[in-house]
Amino acid sequence: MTAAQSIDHQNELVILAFPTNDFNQEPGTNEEIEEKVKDLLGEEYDNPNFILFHKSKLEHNPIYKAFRIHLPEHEVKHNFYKYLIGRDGVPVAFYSKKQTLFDMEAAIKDELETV
Amino acid sequence: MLRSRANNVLKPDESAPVVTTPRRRQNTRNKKSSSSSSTTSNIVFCALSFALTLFIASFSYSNYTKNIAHDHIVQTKHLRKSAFHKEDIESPQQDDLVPVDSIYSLTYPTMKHHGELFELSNIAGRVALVINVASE
Repeated sequence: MTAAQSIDHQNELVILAFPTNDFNQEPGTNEEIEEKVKDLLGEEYDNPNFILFHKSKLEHNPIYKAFRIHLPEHEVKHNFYKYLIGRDGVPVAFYSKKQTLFDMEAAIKDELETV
Repeated sequence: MLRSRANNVLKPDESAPVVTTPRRRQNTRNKKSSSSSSTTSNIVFCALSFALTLFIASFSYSNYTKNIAHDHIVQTKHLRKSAFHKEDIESPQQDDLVPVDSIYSLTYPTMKHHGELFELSNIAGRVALVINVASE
């Protein structure tokens, strides 16, 4: 969140987090996940620019289904894969788990500058 | 033995008066009574068959009307549902701000809102980063 805020000075970037056990790394319930994330983020959990969704299988998640239609050549192979979404709600870029927020900085700034 | 018996039976009794007429009358009475009974039974049979036909017809008609009513209910439900969806699609917020293929036209339950559906149209017009996360 801090890194995102360092890129986004206009408070226009929203982080949408989708917990999943598709890769056997999230066995907890929604309540357990929420507690862990609260412990991890502290006060940042209540940041309106961060939204934690319910745990789901990605293949059943309508948002990820939409991603597969828009970017069929890209596949989520593990946790912490990222989609950059433009202001119109259409995905514009895809990043693997090894790519950090700073690798995405230029693309995020481009989208933020787009009106 | 058979022949002698036959002879005995068939031998006309000369002293006895002719009794053919009363026998005939009895026969006709019997015939009349049997014919009237058969007529009665015919009438009863016809009435029963008519009643049975009526029963079957009314039963099938009631089933038919039930099916029609059921179809009508389903159709009405379908129309209501489609109208509801139409209203959703034609709501000015989504049509004006969000393209049809946008994820901002979708909803999904969140933890922060106690499992309530979150309309992503609330963040329409902003840039988003979507991440699939896990704690381990």
